[in-house]
Amino acid sequence: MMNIKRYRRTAGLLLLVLGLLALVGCESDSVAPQDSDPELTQEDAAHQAAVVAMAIAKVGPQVVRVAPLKSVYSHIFDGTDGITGTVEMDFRTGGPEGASASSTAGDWASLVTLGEDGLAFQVDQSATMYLEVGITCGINQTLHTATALAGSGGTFTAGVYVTTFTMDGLTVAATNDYPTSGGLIFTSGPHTLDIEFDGTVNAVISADGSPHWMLNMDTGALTDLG
Amino acid sequence: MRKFLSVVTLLLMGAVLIAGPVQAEDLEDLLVQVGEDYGRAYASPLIEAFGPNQNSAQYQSAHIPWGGLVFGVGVKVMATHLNEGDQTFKTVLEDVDLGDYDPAYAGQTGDIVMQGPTLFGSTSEYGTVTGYLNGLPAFEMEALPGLIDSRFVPMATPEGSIGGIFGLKGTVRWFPEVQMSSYGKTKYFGYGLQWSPNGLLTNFPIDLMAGFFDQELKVGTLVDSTAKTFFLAASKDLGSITVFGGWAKEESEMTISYVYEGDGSVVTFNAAARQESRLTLGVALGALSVEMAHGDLTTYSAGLMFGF
Repeated sequence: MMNIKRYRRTAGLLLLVLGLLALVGCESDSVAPQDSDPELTQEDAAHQAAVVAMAIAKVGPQVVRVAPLKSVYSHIFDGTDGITGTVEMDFRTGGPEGASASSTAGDWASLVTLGEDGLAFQVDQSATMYLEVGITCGINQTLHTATALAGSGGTFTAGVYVTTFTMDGLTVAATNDYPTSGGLIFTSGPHTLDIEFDGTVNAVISADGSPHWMLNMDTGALTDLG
Repeated sequence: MRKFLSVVTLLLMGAVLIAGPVQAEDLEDLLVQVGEDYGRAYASPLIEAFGPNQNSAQYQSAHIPWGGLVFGVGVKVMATHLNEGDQTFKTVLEDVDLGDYDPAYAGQTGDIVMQGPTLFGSTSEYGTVTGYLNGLPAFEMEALPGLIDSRFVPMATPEGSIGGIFGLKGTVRWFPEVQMSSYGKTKYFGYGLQWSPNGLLTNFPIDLMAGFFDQELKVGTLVDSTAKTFFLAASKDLGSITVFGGWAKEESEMTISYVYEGDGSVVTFNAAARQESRLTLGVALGALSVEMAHGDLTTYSAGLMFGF
């Protein structure tokens, strides 16, 4: 009789422990709202691409405008033109493994943004957005131009949207405020847009291989090309 | 020190609301800074977890005598364990007039993203309300920090019972009215009835019981929370300990009301908790009992009940 009682007690305790263990493994469901980010239209992506193009137009030419005789140079954006932050440039001859060179002698350079968020900038009175850039480029010391090499690009953070871009033969010149040729390939969510520069204030933004918008890089205005 | 006192207040007197004139006033002081959409999302873990707390610890045994009165009095403590993700939230409103949030954008249609800590999120980080126009953040406003950085939503309540006639037992939960400085009185009352058929099933190897409990909590004009549960339970006396378990259907809802200081409008919203059933397992050792219950949420409870 005692054995039966002991057996029942042990079995009961065992069942309890098993039950409690099962419940311990039961995580509560999530109950707070976790909505998806607002869906982007292609035109929204074009506006984002426009901001990136305007920022690159200001940042890129630094690589051919730095003070001479330095091989490593930091440029601080002090808020003029709405950009704040620092980029560091490293000049060499013969590529990334080549010898350090002054900015007037090097034929290769890298430009990277420093800091966790990169460059902070605003358009008009917008909330702050962030641009991280990593560019390697070939430098033509005769023409005072720099052309981005494969692998150059970065990320653009606009609130909840984190987008990416790469450079496609983007060329900047010391004497021109706008990229002279080449472009950017901009990806935001499901949208991929191409931005082509021609050295003027205007850049063309294309989607699916067709021009869709004309960007004025001074005003940020997008004109629908139909 | 204030935070410590707040936590102690919560544990001793029962939760963010009931217990707490201090906590409740802190909560209202925060909510009045935001509109309904933000307030609803910010308070969502409280809305979802408070009802399951109220419906917890309804029994510590299915045994109810069929002859002779028995009385019980004690305290029950419950805490619902939130999912880690519930310490933050993100609410998105698409295609709205941004002018409702920033007059500079009146007439322009865009999206609003509200995100940050919930009421039970980080107390050192602030949420944000960001307006998006053409995929770009047009403006951003700081919102609320968390009130209590914890994954547990606690509650405690005194409880009394009387029974023993034909397997019936009545239970009440009650909390004295507390006058809050500017929000009125806190009121809490609940009642329920349990019945055990074991007087009819004398040779049945385990005790069985069915019951219900209905309760309402009001915290001044800020919160009105109701909860109802119907449960079936079984228990087995194993000598010094009693093992018990059960299944319950339940419902609860909470109404929150406050005056939004932005435009002086009265904000009122009501939400039903998603939890509609639960399984409970527990063990009682003398006057002390502990249990775990799992439905959509997991709730841990303990009770200290003295009977005579």
